[in-house]
Amino acid sequence: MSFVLRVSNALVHTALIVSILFFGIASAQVEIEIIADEGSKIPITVLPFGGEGEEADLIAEIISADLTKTGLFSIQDVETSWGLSKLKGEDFADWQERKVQNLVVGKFAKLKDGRIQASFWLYDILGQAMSVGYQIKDDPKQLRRTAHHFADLIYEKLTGDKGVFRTKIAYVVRKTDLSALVIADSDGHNPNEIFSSKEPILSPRWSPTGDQIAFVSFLNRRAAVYVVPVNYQTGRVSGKPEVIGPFPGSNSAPAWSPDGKRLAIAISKDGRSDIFSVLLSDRSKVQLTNSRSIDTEPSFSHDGKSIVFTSDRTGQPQIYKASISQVSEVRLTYAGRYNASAQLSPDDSFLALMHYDEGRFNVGTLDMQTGIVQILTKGTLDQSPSIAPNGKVIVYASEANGRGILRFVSKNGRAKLRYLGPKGDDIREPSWGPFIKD
Amino acid sequence: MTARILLLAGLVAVCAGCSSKTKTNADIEQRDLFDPSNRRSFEQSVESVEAGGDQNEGDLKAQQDELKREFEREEQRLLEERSKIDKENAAIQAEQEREAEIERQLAEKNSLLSQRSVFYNFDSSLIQPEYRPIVQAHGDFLSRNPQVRIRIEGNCDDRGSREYNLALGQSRAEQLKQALILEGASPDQIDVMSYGAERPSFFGINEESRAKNRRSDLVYIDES
Repeated sequence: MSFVLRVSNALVHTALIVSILFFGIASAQVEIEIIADEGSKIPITVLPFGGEGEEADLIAEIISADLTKTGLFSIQDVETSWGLSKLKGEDFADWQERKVQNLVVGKFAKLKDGRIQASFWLYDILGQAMSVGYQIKDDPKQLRRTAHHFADLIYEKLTGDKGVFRTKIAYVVRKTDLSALVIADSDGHNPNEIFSSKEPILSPRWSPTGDQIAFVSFLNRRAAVYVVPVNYQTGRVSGKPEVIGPFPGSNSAPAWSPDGKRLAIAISKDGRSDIFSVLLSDRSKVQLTNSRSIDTEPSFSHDGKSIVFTSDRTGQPQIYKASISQVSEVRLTYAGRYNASAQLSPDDSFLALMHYDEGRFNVGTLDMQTGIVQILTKGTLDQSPSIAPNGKVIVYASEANGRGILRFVSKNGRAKLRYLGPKGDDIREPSWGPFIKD
Repeated sequence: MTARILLLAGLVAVCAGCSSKTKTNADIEQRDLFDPSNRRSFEQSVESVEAGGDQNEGDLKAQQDELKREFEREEQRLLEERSKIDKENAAIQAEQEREAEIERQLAEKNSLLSQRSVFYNFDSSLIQPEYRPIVQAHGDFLSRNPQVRIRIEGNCDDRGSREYNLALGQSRAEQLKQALILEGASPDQIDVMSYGAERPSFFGINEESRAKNRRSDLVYIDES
C-alpha cells in the first residue's frame, strides 16, 4: 500500500459523459432519507472516473454517496448532451456556463504490478483553481477505501472538517442463541465478525487509537468487561479477548480514557452500582462515583479530567458530570423523565444521549453551554448513540420490522439515513471508531 | 499364628467397610465378623492352636487367654463401630427423606413455592404488595432448609438503555434478596445476577410481553 500525494496543474483530463449517479451498486444495504434545506448545501459535480472497467464508475459512485449522506452536499448532474467529453477541468468558463461550482474529475488504471492507481482532482470553478489533487496506488481490495479517502479529502477541503468515510464502526449482531461482535466500514460495507459467544455481548467501545475494542459479556453468570485487540485498517481481530478483572460483582459499561491507559467501568455489587477507573497496566482501580443508587454508563471528557454518567439517584435515570480529581458532581439533564447513554462529543461541546418523553425513546444532543436538549430522531426505541470522531454525525440503534438496525443522523438533525445489515441481521449497539492514521 | 492372620483379615475387612463411602446395610453385612461362619472359623483356629499339643500347657493357656481377651476387645470395638454406622445410616436416611420432602414441596403445583417470578413496573425494582406472599413463602422455605441454595436472575424489558437495564436487573435481584433475608433466609443461600434486557422470555413489543420481561426469577440451584 502506498499513498502518493501529488498536486499538479499540468495533468489534463478528459471528462466522460456524465451518467446519473445512483447508490444502488455502491451501497446496496444503505437506504438514504435526507432531510435538508437544499439552498444551504454545497453543490458538487462528480464526473465518472476515466479508465476501464466497473471500478472507475464505482469510485465516483462511492464519493457521491459519501458526500450525499452527510446532508451537506447536493450532487449536481450535468446535462450529458453538451459534449462534456471534450471538456477539461480547467475549462472554467465552460463549467460555469453549466452552473457547475465544484467539480471532481478522476481517472483509474490497473498497474502491471497488480495494484490499482486512482487519481482525482477537485476544481473550484468560481475561483478558477484546482484545489486538491491526489493519487493513490493500492491493493485492488482497497478500492472502496481509496474512494473513501478521496471523499475525505473533498469533504475536508469544502467544509473545513475532517471526513469520517474511512473510519470503522463496531456493533453487535444478535442471532438465535448467539451474539457476535462485528467491525464494518462506516458505510456498513465489509462487515466482519470478530468474536461470537453464546452469552449476550453488549457495549462495544473502540479504544482511542482503534487497536482495541472493550465490550461486555458474561463470565460465570456475571457481566464482565473484555478487551480484544484488533487491526483498525483491516477490521480484523489480532488476538484473543482478555477479561479485565473480573472484580467482584457485575462489571460493565466500559469507557476508555483519552490516553487509552484506563477504562472506566461500572461495578454493581450489594445493591449499588458505582463507577471505577481501572488502570490497565496493573488493574488497580479508583472509585469515581459513590451513591446508594445506580451509577453507570461513564464517558470521559477529552481532557480526561471528568466523566459524564447515568445515575438514578433522584429515582429516575438522569445525566451527571463528575470530576476525576475532586468530589464534585453536577446534574446535567432536567428535561424528560429518563435520560441515559450519554457520550461526550470530541470537542466536549455537546452530549449525545437517549431521551424518553411521551412514550418514546429518542436520540438527541445536549448543548453543554446552554443545557438545551435537541431531539434528532423520530423512532419509538432509538438508543445507544455514538458520535463520529469529527463530531458531525451520530450513529444509533433503532428498529424496523421487529429487528435492530443502525441509523445515522447528522448533528444538526438535517441528514438521516439508515443501515440495514446484510442477511436481515438483528443489529444493535454501534460504536464509532477513531480517525484513521495516515 | 493362623488365628492372628484371620483376625487381622477380619479387621481389614471391617475397616474397609468403615471407610467405604456408601454405608449401605448390604455392604456392612457382607463384612460382618458376627456372621456365624466368621465366628466358626475363629473358633476353629483356636482349636487348631490347642491341638498343637506338644508345647508347654501353661504357655498354651496363656496364649488362649490372650486370644480370648483380644477377641473380646475386638468384639466390643466392632459393636461400637456397628452402632456408629447405624447412626450414620439413620442420619443419611433422614437427610434423603428431607431432600425428598424439599423436592416434593418445590414440585408441588399451585403452591406459593411453585411461583418463581416477581414482576415489576417500568424502571422500578420495588416489589409490589401482590408478590409479598410469594416472597414470604420462599423466604420461609429457605429459612427452614438452610442447605438449599437459590439464584435470583433480574431481567428488564427492552425499553431504555441496555447498560442501565443491566444495573436495574441487578438492583431488582438484590432487592428481592434483601426481602428474602427479612423473611429468614441467610445471605449465603442466595446468589444474584442480572441479564438486563439481554435475555427476554417474551419477544413481543406490546406491553403484555414487556410486563412479563420485567421480572426476577428464583432459580433453585439443584433444579437448574
